[in-house]
Parts: sequence; C-alpha cells; structure tokens
Amino acid sequence: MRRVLSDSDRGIVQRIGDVLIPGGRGMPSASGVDIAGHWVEEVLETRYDLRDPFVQAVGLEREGLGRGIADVDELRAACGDLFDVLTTVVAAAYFLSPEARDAMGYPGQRPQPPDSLEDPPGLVSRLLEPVVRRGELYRSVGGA
Amino acid sequence: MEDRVDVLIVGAGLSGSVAALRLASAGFSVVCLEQGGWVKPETYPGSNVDWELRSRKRWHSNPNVRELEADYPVEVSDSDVNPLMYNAVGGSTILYAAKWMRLLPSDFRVRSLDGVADDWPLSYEELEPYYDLVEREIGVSGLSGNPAYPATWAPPLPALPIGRIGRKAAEGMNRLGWHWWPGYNAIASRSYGSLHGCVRWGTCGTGCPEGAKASADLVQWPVALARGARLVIGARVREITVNRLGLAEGAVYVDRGGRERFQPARVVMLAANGVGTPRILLLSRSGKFPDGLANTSGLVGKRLMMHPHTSVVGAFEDDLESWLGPAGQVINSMEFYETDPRRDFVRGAKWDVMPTGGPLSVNRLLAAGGVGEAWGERFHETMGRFLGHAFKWGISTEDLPDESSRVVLDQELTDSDDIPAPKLFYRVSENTKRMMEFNVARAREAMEASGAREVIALPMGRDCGWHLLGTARMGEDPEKSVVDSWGRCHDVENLFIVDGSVFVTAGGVNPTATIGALAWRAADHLIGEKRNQVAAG
Repeated sequence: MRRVLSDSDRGIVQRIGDVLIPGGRGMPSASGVDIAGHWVEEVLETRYDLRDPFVQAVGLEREGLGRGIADVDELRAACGDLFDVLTTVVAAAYFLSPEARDAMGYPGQRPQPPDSLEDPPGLVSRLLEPVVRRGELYRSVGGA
Repeated sequence: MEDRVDVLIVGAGLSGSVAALRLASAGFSVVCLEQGGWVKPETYPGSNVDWELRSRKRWHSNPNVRELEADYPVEVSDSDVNPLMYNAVGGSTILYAAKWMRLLPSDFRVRSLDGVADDWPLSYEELEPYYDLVEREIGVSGLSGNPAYPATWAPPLPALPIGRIGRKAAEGMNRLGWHWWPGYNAIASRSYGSLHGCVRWGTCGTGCPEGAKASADLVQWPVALARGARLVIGARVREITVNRLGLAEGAVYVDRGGRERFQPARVVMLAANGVGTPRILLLSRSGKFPDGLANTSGLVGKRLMMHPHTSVVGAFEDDLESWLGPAGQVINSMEFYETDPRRDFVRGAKWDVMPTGGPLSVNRLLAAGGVGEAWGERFHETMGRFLGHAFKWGISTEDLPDESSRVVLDQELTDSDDIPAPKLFYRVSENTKRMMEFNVARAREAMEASGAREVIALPMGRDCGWHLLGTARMGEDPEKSVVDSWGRCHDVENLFIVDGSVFVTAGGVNPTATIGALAWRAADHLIGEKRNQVAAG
C-alpha cells in the first residue's frame, strides 16, 4: 500500500485528530490509537475519492501551524468546506481501530440471530392489545 | 440485428424482473436489457469492518456520488431532493431497506376523498390479489391483523423481532394511544425459497451479507432465466424506435464495448424507474412523436413525486444495541397517515423505526443534527449517549403531484455513452412542509413518551429520493395520462410501462409492493390478451 501522507503530515493529522477526538473518560485519543500511522491510510485506500480533499485540508492546517489551532471551532474556520472531509476521515480512521471499538463497546456488525430473550413469547401480542382494541384505523372508501 | 422476441423489457429491477418471470413462465420469448451487471452478494460490504465507510461511496444510493460505469448522472441543481437508485440486475432492491408497504384504499381515491390530485383508475381491491402474489413470491415478513389495513392482508412469513428498539418505541406509542404495528419487510424471518433467515447484520442498505433480504437478482432472475428469459447486461438503451404506424419496433442500445445494437420485439416494456423511463421516452423522438414517445398528453416526465423524508432521533438511558438489524422497519405507525381536516395540510405520513447503525453513522447523524458536542472535549461523552442507545422514527411524507416537478433531458450533461442525462426540477411543496413539521412535532412527543433523554429532529437531507414516482401516470383519459390502468401507453399500443412512473399519486408509503403488484398485473394482462396484442409488422 502506497502511503498518502508524508511523515510531517502524519504529525499534523495526529494533532488534528486529537483536537477532534481527545482522550478521556477511559477512551483513547485519536493519536492514542495512532490514526495517522495506519488507520487514515486504510481509510484513504478504501475511499480514493477522499484522498485529494483530505490532503488539501491537511495542507491548510500545515499553513496554519504557526497559529497552533487548538480547538474545533478554529479548525472548522480554517478548513471551511473541507471540514466535513477532514472529520469523516478522522472519525472513520478512529472507528476502524479495534482499541477504540473495544473501548466504545461496539462489537461491529455481525450476525446475531434473534433469541427468545429479545422478544419473549407473547410480548408483542400484549403490547399490541391496545392497538387492536381501538379498532380499524384506515379510511373507508365506500362510495368514493 | 438480434432475433425479434415477444417482449423486450428495459430494466432488471423489481418491476422488470416480476414481468420477465411471469412472461417467461407463460411461454413468451423475453429479452431484458439492463445497463448494469450482476452484483455478487459476497462483495456486499456489510461484513467488513469498514462497511460504513464504503456505504458512503461505492455503495451509496445516490448515483451522482457512486459514479459507477453502470450509472448515469442526474442533474439536480434545481431539485430539493436527490434521486436514489441502483443500476444492476435487481435494480434498487440491491440497496433498498426492504420496507414493504401496501398503499391504503384511500390512496386510490385521493380526489374523491380529499378534493386534491386524482383518483387512480383502479382500486385497492383490484390490486390486492397481485399484492398477495408478489408477496408470496418475494417472501414478506409481517403480522396480520393490522387495524390500519384491510383485514385480508396476511404476509406469508412471521414478522421479524421488534427487539429492544421496537419495544421502546411501542411503549411510547401505547402511552399516547397511537397506532403502531410490527414492520412489514421483504426480509425473510426464516428460510424461504432462495432466501436465508435474517440474522440481524443491520446492513440491509448495502446488500444483505446473509442473503436474507429479498432482491430481484436473488428471487426472480434465477427462475426467469431457467424458464428461458434472456438477460443482456451492460446494455444502455438510447431509444425506443417506432414504425410508420407508431408502433414500437424495439430498442437501440449501447453495449459495454461501445457498439450500438438493436433488439427488435413485438412488445416493449419499460421498467427503468421514474427517472430512467421518462428519460428514454423523451430520448425517443420521431416524426410521429416529436415531443417524445407516448407523450401526446405532454405528461411524460411531469408530476415527479419523491416522498420527502426526515427522521427524529431519540437517545435513551438503556443499552438498546441499536446497531442490530433489521435495518428495514422494526415497527411502523399509520397514526397520522390519513387526512384530518383539523390539520393545515391534506394527506399524511407513514412512520417507521430504524436502528441508528455503527459509530460512523451515529457520528454523521450527530453532525447532521447540529449537535455541537460531536467533536472535541465532549466527543466521547456524546458518542456514549447515542451509540447503541438511540433509534430513529423515520417520517415518509406524501407529496402531491405537481406538473412543475418534472424530469427533462439536460442540454449539456451526458452519460458515458454521450446520451443526454436527465435533469430534475423538484421543490418540496408547502403542503409537504406543513405535513413534515406536524409529524416531526408528533415524533418528538413519541420519543419523549418512550422515555428518551434527548431528542434530535434531523433536517430533511437531500439524499432521500428513493421513491421515483408519477412521471408517466396511468389514467383512462389519454389527454390526462400516459398509460391505461394496465400500463399500456395510450399512444403506442405495444408499449407498456410497469415501474413507479405510472403512479397517479404517491401515497405516503414505500412503493415497492405496489410497483411489484402493478408489474405482475400488467404482465398477466398481456398474457391474457396475447391474441389481441398489436405488434409492429
């Protein structure tokens, strides 16, 4: 896999990532799961269409290094229309990390056949009793 | 030139597939031209860790985002809503959520009951046997006895489980005394024909990795092909040609090698959806039809309806595992579907409960909902409140036909074969805006009654035009409609339209069931009238 980000850009991405997704509450930060080292590249491999705008957004941030953007509003203002691309890539990269997913308690999409604990026998019928008791709801068109 | 066949079908989505299977089963020679190809179920992204990321490009429902070779671009700068579709064998059933709803009896009598729009030239009762047939073929899961529908509706498969989110939503509706019912879905609740039982992947919108969601490539095509139907993929139709009597002769199409070909037929059937079908008709100009084929009424492309859609999201204290499927409709409500003269709009909306998906979907949803804490110091706390803890009430509103909402040919934009692309003119009407505002307020109340600790009303997104309807409406009067009640064009006796274009009004429900039933009915009519069918010589 050919890397999209240069070494210096990776540093910027880690820093942007931490502005958007800082650590805390037992959760790792964006740099804590090393989004720029691996996961951003994975995202851009899957989503070729996001490469150019993402690199452009990172470039804008590179130009703003001296100002040391430190909060989300500043980042949004600096990136303008590219903020959505930036956040999509950073979030997707973070959520690809097994460490982040484990910490969130998200097992990923997987088959989980329904079991009787979910819909105990008779539950739906009992819940529907008042609906059925109220009777027909649809509009008659007789003679229309 | 190919051999002339009895019936040429354009489009291998649900309507074309239903018709192809019926006609081939009755011994007709059938060729179907499909601009897309087969999609292998093993390529569906739902079982991949990056599923949510892929769903926003390659598997996006908007062809302008997806940009696959099989897609054609749609010019939407004058439309409030983007049209959604999928171009492949199976058509939009590849990506649909499989929410399966019948129109209600009142939907066929809108003019008579509410004094707006028009009545259909057929009734619920006339269509009901075909709803039954297509539901048995495709395998619809649901519970009979719904007081919102005539009592005769009995789906062939048991309903899918309502799960934790359905239970939570239902409890709120019961507190308010409002209607709800377990969802009807074209998702098998147990093995049925070629379908496997649903195991709740929750990725229905990008194709079911389990093969539980009914799509026309899985259900109809294997049988239709076995019965002799021929399917030509990568075939983009440029024009339906007519003879000097104005009868359809067949279709000119471009194959993937860029070669122009001609498929002759005794009867042509368009099944290319409410944007694709008027596009082909408008492309098919001739001396006899200078304004487009079958367009003497001037209504081809007009009266486009797309069901503006919005959602209200509720977040709960309880762990609801709300990434689990089915991501069809878990429960639905018809409480506010019928016209109520006390409201400041006519007609109504259908609601359905859906899960909110994985973390990227939740994050994007929060951003769309303007939740300020989606990023920064409160990122984790906010995600923790919503991921697995939230579901949404989706609101599908009926939009009434309006001739200014239309599909035309764009003057500049073309597809990859240099065929003019469609352009949409579509504005959400004042009636629909009022309907949406009312229903969003009620859905907020429903969420609060269910115990939501936070409620977000999402603004209507542009990518909600799943239902492409009304652009070649049916009717008895050739001056006011394009096709008759069987889908036969008034102007061209051997040209049928069997997709959502023929809808007179949109109703407020998902239209796939009605599209399938109408296609089945049209094919049966063609079979029954075989000896009287006029064809080009």
